Amino acid sequence: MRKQLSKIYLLSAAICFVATSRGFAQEPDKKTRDYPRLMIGVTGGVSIPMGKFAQTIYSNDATTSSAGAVPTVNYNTGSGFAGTGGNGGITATYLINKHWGIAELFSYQQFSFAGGQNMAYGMQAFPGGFDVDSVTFQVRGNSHTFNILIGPAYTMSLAKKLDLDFRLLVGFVNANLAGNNITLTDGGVTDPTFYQAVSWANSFGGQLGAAVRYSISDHIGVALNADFFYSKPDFEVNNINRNNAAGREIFSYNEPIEGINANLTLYYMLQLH
Amino acid sequence: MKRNKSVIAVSAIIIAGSYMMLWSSCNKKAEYTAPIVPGNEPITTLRLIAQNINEPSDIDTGIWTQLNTNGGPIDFSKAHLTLKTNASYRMYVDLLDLDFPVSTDTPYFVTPLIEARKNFHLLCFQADASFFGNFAVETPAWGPTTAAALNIYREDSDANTPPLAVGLIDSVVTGSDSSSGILDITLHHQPNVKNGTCPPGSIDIEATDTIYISPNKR
Repeated sequence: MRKQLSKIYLLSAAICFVATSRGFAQEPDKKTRDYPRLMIGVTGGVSIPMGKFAQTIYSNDATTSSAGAVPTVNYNTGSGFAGTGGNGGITATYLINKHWGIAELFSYQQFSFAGGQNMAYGMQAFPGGFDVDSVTFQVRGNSHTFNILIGPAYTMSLAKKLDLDFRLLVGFVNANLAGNNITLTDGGVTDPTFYQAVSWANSFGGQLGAAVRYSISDHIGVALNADFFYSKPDFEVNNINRNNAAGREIFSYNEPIEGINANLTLYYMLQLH
Repeated sequence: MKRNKSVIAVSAIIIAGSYMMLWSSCNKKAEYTAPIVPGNEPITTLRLIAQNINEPSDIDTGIWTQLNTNGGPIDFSKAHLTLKTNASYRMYVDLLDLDFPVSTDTPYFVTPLIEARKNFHLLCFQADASFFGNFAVETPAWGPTTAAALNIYREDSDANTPPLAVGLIDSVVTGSDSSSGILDITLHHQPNVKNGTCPPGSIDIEATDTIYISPNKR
């Protein structure tokens, strides 16, 4: 996590350095603006998960030492089964001067469930599952995060009404991991459903991104944002009514929740003083 | 001015759209079903092999066969075991599919498959009192011996926590009196419901063997 964040800091510093040199070169029309300025925005868009959190693999392989021995199944416990979702929130940037400011973001981000069919087939087959006639896999809750983030923002002018914004936000992330209900049917008998409960954890997280902002008027602007998000909550997972040692079962999940947010933000801008 | 308003309107619609997408995905119940897969390996034959622990030459085998598992005729001609009174036997339960293709020379041994799936399988033994009313079979825990004609202790266990019995390898202790009866043997498939008792789950095979217990076994 620290390594990742230090990389993010370095990258943002490099971006700011390049941006500053460009910004100084083309700012004549912004000299008339007064600072400090406040931009308040409503943002929403698509969340695309990446890494293990987005994996949908049930198991990697199975090995057995001899006929009759219980096969050792290498379950992929890192798979997060997260699919593309959405996010929405409120953001504000307080510009201290024409380049620098402080940005904050309150947002909610939710992911769809991907690979549910893999889970159903995995639980059905053997090795890896219960060797039953049929499995019904139902998603319980959803994977989502509440984010309260704050950090430095840098803005530079690209044209008369066009600005390029950068921000590095860090802060508190409350994350939920989707659970599931599994019902097995074999020989005409449907056994009681067992489930993996929805889990939650708090974590430190961050978001690094850039936006192209177009000022429609003195007070209204619209921006296209692309942000990389990252947090690594340590979930403790509870399995209820799980009686026998078979099938994929996780007791914890500690993989990064990471990916890209592609957003549209509608800003209201005002001058403060 | 008009264009500005359009841009604002379009932006607002897109943001509102993403919020609605979030809302709808919040309320969607995703469900996936792995449909019924035909062709589970049938078990046509259950073979009991009992060997006297104190007299290794005392071995008997009982074979119960139903080649057509969809209600076909049952071959009881070899489905019997003769055991000595007051004796201890180690009994192995073998499961086979004798309805193998003609081109194949050997029967298909299902026992290793059940052994691999032992975490959710259990063999149960009980007396079928419909013919020999006084014949009693018990499957006690290790230690006590009951007054039953046949006491069956399951020797093998699975990888559950705590380990549960399976029943493919058993110890059989006979009573002191001569008796005979029908032993009902069922293999239970208990996916995630195995708890050491027989009722949960479904039955993969149900076979019966006639047991003769006599002091003078020939």
